[in-house]
Amino acid sequence: MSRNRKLEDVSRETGVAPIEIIEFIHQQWICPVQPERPELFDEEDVARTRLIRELREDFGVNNEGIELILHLLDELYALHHQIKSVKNQ
Amino acid sequence: MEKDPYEVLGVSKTATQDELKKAYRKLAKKLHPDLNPGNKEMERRFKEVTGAYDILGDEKKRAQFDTQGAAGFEGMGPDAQHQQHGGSRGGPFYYQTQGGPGGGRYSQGFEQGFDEDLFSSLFGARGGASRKPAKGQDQHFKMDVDFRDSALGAEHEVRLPDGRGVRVKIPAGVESGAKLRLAGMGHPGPAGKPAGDLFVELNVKPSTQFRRMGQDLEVDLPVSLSEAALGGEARVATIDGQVLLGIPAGVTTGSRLRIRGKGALDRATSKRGDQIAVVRVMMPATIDPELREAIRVWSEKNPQNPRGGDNVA
Repeated sequence: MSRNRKLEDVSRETGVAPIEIIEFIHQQWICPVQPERPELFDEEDVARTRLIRELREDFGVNNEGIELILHLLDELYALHHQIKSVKNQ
Repeated sequence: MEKDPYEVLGVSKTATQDELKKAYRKLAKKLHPDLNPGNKEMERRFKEVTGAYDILGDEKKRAQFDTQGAAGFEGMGPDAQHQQHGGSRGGPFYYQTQGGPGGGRYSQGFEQGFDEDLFSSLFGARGGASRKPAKGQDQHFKMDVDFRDSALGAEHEVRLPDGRGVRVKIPAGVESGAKLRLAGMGHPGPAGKPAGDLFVELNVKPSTQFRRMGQDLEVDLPVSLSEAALGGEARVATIDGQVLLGIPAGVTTGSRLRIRGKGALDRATSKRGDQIAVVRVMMPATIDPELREAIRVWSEKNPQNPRGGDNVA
């Protein structure tokens, strides 16, 4: 459904510098669909990168907080998904 | 534009930029669509708020708005404004990428754990599923490598801190700092997911004898005065053991004697570099009268100036 992008494309789309995106990967906040060089990012990676940017710049969340928030969000979405699939059964 | 941006942010017209920022952050935290996935009303208000902050958060735009009112921003519905917000919102919100039939890639790791114990997965070990969603965590390990192994390649069984033993194949010709990636040898993945990778960083122990110059290895070769003058043979250590090296008559300090094929292995060509023995002429520890006299006689007949023409003393 979504085409994969290169690092520069993600940088342009999200307004996050490439070096920072690399840092996000090192922090394991994002995990590109293709983690080896050249890294490739899908729609999820891009949206997640943008979210991290907003958390940091608009919300003033520090690095420790980002980690916790991402963890809780992932958990939340997993729950949503679980509930949806239970409802559909 | 329908609403007054000051009203949207709930601040007075005289609010400072700092107060505006605070008000915006406070609202954004509450309304951000990723924190309220699927709530359309929240999303609409979030866009309104970011649109308002887009104008007021920028002092120039704010001044323009204060003097000209909404007229200067005609045609900018909440969506248009929102897209401008730092150029940040050119795509879907994160939650919107999580609703596919399989759920999100990043949240998948959690689903296995729900039946067992929700709270242990919520507050379990750091580095849980969300940090490395689709596979186990990567593991990093540093190991020392003998100089010889780095030149020729080797295979070693190493024990990781967690007690596991792995075979590490050291490629010939590696240099210190090289990293090997052993796919799937890292921490085990969440149920049904592949394990992470193991990264092994090689620290090549420097040799007291050999210096690495690309694929070539350099050693110093001390030779006596008579070997330098008359030539001879010397046993020279190589990484394959000792070899007998012929010393041609007349070598001097700095002469480079090549021993072919005793260097590091070049993986690209599968050929080995050379070892270079760099000559250092050693004077005898003491210059006895006999040697002194012989040299004096010789040099009177053969004046020599190794420093070139202009430097004659």
